[in-house]
Amino acid sequence: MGTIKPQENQNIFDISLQEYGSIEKVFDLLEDNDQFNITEDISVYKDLKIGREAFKKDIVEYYNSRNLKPATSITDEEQYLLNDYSGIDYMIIEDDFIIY
Amino acid sequence: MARTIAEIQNEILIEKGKQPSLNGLTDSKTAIWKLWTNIVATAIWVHEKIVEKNALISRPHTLNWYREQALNFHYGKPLGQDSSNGMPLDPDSSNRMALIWKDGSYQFDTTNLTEDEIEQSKIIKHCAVSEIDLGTVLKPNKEIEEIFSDYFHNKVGVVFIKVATVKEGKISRIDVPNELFALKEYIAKIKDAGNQVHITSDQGDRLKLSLNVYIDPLSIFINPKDIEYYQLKSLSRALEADEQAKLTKYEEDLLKKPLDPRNGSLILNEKTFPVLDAIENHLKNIEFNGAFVKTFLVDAIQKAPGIKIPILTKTETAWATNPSDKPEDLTDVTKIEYFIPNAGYFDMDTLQVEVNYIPYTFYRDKQ
Repeated sequence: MGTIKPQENQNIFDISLQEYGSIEKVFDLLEDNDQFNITEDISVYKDLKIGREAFKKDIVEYYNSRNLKPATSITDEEQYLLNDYSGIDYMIIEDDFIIY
Repeated sequence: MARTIAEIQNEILIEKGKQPSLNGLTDSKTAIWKLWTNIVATAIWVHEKIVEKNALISRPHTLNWYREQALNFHYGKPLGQDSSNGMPLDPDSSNRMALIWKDGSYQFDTTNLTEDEIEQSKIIKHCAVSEIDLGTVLKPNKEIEEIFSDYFHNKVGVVFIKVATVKEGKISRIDVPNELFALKEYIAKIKDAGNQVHITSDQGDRLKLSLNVYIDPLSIFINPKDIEYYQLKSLSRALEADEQAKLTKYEEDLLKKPLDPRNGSLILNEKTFPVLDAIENHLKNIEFNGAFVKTFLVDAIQKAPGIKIPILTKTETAWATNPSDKPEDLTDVTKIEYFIPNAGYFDMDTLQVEVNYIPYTFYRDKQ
């Protein structure tokens, strides 16, 4: 068993992907760290216990060799932008996208 | 057992194949509909995992359920509050925390308590639940080799619960009789009628290990005057007369001038004893009620710095007794590859390790 430090904006799924190559290890990861809530944010100040066998070794290798760290957690800033629906994609023709 | 994401996705794809109207979809590996099947499969998988976990601990009265209940036991009220805590105490209970009937089951009344206090009152940190099958009991004369300790302990029709708490970072038994008594009452209240539950919380088992360890003399210190004594002691054959005489002489000398206490420590750091540290670390990391496996221990020592060949020559163990009683004799279990300690763990304070340190130089002796 080892420990790793989560990076900024990583969530528990990212860690599972990075360390084991699949999100299917996420429940093992939670169990190893005595957590039960899958949606809870993880903290960069708290190390996570890892060290089980990888689920998909090739994917772990891929991340390792390219030094990639998946970080898909949404930031507050992004959340704000998401909530503020506007722009072409969010407009509906003849509702708020009206050409006179 | 929850299915894997791939299995679920496969089933979706099979189902999709049965729909002729979907035949026109592109077969590209990155097709958006394939991504959607993956998303749906993942969502179903997460759901299955959660249901599986819940079923494991919430289905009443399986062994796992008993374990969960024991771990969830609250003892007393945390210190620093007035004794009644404003709550009506259960008059039948010796536990100082009230047990109330809520939502169809007995629950501890934790109103007015902070999360910290609730956490503090959960005294059971380790728990193992077991029962034994009838077959083992019907053949009492069968040679018992592998299930060394559990055999004597478990009887049929009885649920055995071993519990332990953590004190000062070390695993130890809960307070007997006070806490144990309260736990017994709690379990008696929630268990099924007619079930026999036997709850124990014991002092850790005693363990004595004897090892011959070949070490790298460049990184581990041995006082040269002690080397021959270690070598004589490490021989497994019967000693010849002159060797025996030598050993006796060494032992007499040791009374006046004992072995160098630095033997076995790192040359660079006299306070670190790689072999002893590795053993202690390994024993600590065995899970509660997990088996002590000789080969795993040797593997763990092998990984320590400066260790060339660790050989476990003798393993002895005994159940712990009360401090006032005469300690039980150690039983030689060298021939048993693995066994489970009676208390569920070993007592680190009474751990005895006898190591013969031998320099790893025999490649030169022959020349």
